[in-house]
Amino acid sequence: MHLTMNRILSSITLNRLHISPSQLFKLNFFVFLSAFCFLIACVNGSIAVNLSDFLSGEISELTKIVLLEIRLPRVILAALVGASLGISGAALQGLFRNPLADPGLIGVSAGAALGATLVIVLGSKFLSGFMLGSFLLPLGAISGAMLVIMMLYLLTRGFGYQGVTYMLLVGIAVNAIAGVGIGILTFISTDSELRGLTFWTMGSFGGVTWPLLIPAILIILISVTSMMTVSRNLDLIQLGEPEAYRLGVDVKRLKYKIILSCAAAVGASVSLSGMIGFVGLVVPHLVRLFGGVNHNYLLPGSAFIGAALMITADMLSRTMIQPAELPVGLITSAIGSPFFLWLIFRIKRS
Amino acid sequence: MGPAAVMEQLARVGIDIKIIPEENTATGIVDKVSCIADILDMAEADKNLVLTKLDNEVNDLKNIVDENKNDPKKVMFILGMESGSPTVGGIGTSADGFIKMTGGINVMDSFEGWKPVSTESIIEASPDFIIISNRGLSSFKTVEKLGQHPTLVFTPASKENNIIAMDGMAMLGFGPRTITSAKEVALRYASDNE
Repeated sequence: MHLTMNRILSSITLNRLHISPSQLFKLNFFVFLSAFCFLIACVNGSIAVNLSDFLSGEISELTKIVLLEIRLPRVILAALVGASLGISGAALQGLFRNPLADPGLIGVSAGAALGATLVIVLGSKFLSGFMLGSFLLPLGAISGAMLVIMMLYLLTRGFGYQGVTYMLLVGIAVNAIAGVGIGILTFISTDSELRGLTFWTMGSFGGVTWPLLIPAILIILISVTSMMTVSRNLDLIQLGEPEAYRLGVDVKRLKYKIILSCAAAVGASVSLSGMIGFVGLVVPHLVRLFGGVNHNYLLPGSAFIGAALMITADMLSRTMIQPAELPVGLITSAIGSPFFLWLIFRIKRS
Repeated sequence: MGPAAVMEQLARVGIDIKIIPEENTATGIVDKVSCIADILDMAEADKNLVLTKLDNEVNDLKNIVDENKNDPKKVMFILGMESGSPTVGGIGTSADGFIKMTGGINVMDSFEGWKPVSTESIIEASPDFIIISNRGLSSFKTVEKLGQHPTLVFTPASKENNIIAMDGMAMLGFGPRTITSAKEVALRYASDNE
């Protein structure tokens, strides 16, 4: 008991020590930036909302409904998904010591997508008597993500006695398997299902409501907090797994914690918003460019920059070609894929 | 029409191909039927019999549409809800043609083709009627349940229970059945006015 208390205390003091004042200032700036994006996104949309009118209560019933029941949950979801993808990317890049790691890499996004496509294509055929309705899709996605995690666990015998490269390769294989599943389902789907499927795999924040959002908020907050607690260990593991082990890091537990938290956060995100690519890859690199690689700065920084970026991308998606909606995954991929190429060239040069 | 490459391949094999012009209006349907009658080399009397029957149907539809003329309804056609945001028919789609046949106004007239639209735009467009195919409805079972979906619940159509579900091909196939379906929908507009 005493020992654990000591350990917690010392880890807290250690954590406190491992962030510089300028990084603290930058983190504050990131918080401010995401709050700013949040406000801008709340007042922009098909139906104009004047913030001062809202605060003074001079607002029509319809505008109030639009703001509180439709726009607010949507902006919050975008922020949560951006934050969880950003921080998951940062944590995975740290854990794998691989600058190209991304939540999509270990196959969790693809597994979630497979679960969701299963629901879209087969759900209307076999489960027509099912009462779950719009809850079925998130449920399918989370089950798909969980299935992938269990498969990864079995194939890598407990997340990697064979080392990190092996796990990355398994992730590629899992991605391919999920791709085959989605491909077959695409092939047997009807016209209207196919359209739903295409837009869903490109990602969207439409159709979200408070009852759907609240479980996701809980899952994402818990997994993000759990990742923050191991940020110092992530710093140490950069020295190499045996070295980190000798410095007192429970490497296996760290892996469990990071991978499970990432899977839960990404699974919950994908289930509500579809596959949104490249955020988990780009955001941590942006944050590193701003000011440092230590995870006490990197993890929260990635969460806030991820949130700011995603809120902005979603705002563009719903306002650029009103009344139609541009799939938000298209926007993030359009920004992310050239960045990905640039990154590969940069790594090759060094 | 099929992909150009396939059409070309079929033509090269020596199969006789007739392309029937597609126009999403009532006259388009009549033209199609008479075109097929010509291709099949039907007797003039038989052809006229069919065309007269169709013309009567079209006139019936026109009468109902004319009666509704003073109060045209704002209509939105939903293909499916699977993507989170409803995918609706913009201009140039068969749904747009169908809505015009019923005498309604397509509220989604600022873009072409089938596109997902945001909840806010749907509320702003405030459709009086929502039409969906039976297949699009299938995961919701009833129109009442569909009306409770968060993207639709604030529309006048949902509040007034004016959501219509019908066989998709019977509406959008633009064969003889489309006229009957359009009549049915136009009668729903009329009963809403009473």
